Amino acid sequence: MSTFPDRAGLQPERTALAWQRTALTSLVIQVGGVVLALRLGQSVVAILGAIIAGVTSVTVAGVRQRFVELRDDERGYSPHRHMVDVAVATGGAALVGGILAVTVASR
Amino acid sequence: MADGSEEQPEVRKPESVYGVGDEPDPRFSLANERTALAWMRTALALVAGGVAIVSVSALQGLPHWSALVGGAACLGGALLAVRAVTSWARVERALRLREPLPSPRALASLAGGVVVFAAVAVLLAVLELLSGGSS
Repeated sequence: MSTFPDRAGLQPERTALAWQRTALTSLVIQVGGVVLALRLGQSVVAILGAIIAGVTSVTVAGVRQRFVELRDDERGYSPHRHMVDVAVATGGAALVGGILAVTVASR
Repeated sequence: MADGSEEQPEVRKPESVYGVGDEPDPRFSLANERTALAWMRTALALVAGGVAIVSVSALQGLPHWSALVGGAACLGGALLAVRAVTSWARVERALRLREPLPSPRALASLAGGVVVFAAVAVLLAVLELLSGGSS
């Protein structure tokens, strides 16, 4: 039985799972970037990637807050902050990838 | 409260979205949120693809230009992530104002970008094949 009787189609559950998928994907990509940087001997980039991965882990934990919000039918909510967090994490991963691309291309 | 007045509602941000119009059907808002997240995952897939191309390029001794192709994919992913957030805000605002939903312009950009990306990759691969064959 749904815990969200006022919302048909399991909408909050689907949305919560979409957040979880997105946040976890973001974290996995960060790890890939750090591993590649280490393999290439780019320790500075690896440290940068590790810092971004750490921030992304906080974002993944922060998604829990979104779960709580989605369970509250009475209170207004905004996904904007979480969305910006994930976008920043994505930009960080792209930055690491971009630096590594330039590094490899200039060898 | 004792006097029956309701609690002050939280101020939701961004105000450019939540400061206008009326509350839409929650299902529409949640669908908009999931769509934005789907865009975000597309952006993440681009970044992941870019990192994978750079990895293969670096570890398998492929031509240097292939790493730049990966870098371009990463850049595209970053731009798409920003676009996901702005598109979410535009659609949510339209929902609140009961206006027609904005067209998904990012979809055309993404499709065009993928076609250009594929064409460049094929062109560079053919050039590499030809140069390798002549040596």
